[in-house]
Amino acid sequence: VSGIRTNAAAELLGVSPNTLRSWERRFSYPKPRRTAGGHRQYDLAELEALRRALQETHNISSAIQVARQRGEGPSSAARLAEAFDRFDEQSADRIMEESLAVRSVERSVEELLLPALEMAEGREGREAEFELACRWGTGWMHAARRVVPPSTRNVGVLLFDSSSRLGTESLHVQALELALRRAGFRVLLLSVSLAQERVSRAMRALDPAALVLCGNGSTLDDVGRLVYAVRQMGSTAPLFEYRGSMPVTGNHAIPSLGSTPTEATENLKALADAPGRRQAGTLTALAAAP
Amino acid sequence: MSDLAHIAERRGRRAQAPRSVLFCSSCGDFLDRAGRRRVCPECGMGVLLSAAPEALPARRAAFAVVDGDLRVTAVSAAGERLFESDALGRSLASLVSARGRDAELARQVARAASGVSGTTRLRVRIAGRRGVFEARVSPCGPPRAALVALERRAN
Repeated sequence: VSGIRTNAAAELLGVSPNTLRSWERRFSYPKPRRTAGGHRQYDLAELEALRRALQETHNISSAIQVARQRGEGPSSAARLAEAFDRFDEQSADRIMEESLAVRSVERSVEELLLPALEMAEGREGREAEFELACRWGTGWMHAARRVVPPSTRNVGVLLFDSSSRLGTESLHVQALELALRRAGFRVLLLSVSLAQERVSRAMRALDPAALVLCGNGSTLDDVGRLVYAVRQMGSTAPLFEYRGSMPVTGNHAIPSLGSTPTEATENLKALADAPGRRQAGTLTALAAAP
Repeated sequence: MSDLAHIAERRGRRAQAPRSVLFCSSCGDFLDRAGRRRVCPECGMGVLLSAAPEALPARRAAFAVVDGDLRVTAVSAAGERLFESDALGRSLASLVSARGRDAELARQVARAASGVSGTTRLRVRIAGRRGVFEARVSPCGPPRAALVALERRAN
């Protein structure tokens, strides 16, 4: 760990060494280590967190509180899951904000949010914490979606969500929708159980180049109805599945886009951008994939 | 008006424009300039904020810094003596009332916290204190907030 002496630390914060020592006595922060010779060695990360916090607050004790919280370590899925367990939405907001300072939205979702939800899921007696996590995650992704710029690709993707309730899989679907929108696709997310005539209207409006079956609640009947409705419209848009959403085990004819939003988005981008792979606005290929 | 006269008049106007004062959020002392400093060199317990000169009645005045949610984010040493309990983090409404004009006080504080310039004066009472006080509400920062300076007034 990098450490710096008192004078340099004071200089970095724009205070006198005496002020720095008085903070240590009063707030126990920043807390220096001692060298063998008894000299103070301040942690650079702590000082930097405090310097930033001083710019964002109106008094020293608040700045130290903010810096302490930030000093808990880098934002991680475990920290986010802990925030959900404390029903502490402010901490969850802050952890994601911190993550966005060093990661893209996609990576923050895939490396923090979705793993934190998986950690929070399926624990006996912790259903309330998990529900909060799902609702908070939904809100966060909606907020992220609102600031996505308009689509830049003239390629529509229709997502069919088969999730029956709010849970990790439905959040994965929302994450895919967000990633596709951020990649410039025109995206529509609908329930797989929608009646045929409503799907037809959506098909006409979006003119999708690809259909993606998502979620973990579909039945073969759903898939059959979906394919029938789409082909009735004369659409040749290929159907893909996401995260093993096909309700069959073993081999089947529906190609997979992968199991993460980034993987699925990259696959669709590759198909959309590959020369000769677009025919009449429809993504072909992958169909031959196993 | 000639161009030169026009420029001279504009310069004069700029020179008369109200400047801001730099003060410590804890001791309330005034400073001439901050330089690269963020922390008060006098007390080491407050950060340096700026506001319009008329925002504070005197150096080391009693004041609270309030954010857009009307939460107290800093209190000067004189302000701490005025409020009967720890004001930091509390709602301004739980500490100060404006004698039937609480909504107006909240509106002025929210306006100032959003950076709308100008100083508003209202008569207020402080929880647990006798007598009437004058509250001056002005924008301050950074970060942007409302400065509510309190001064005792005769009834």
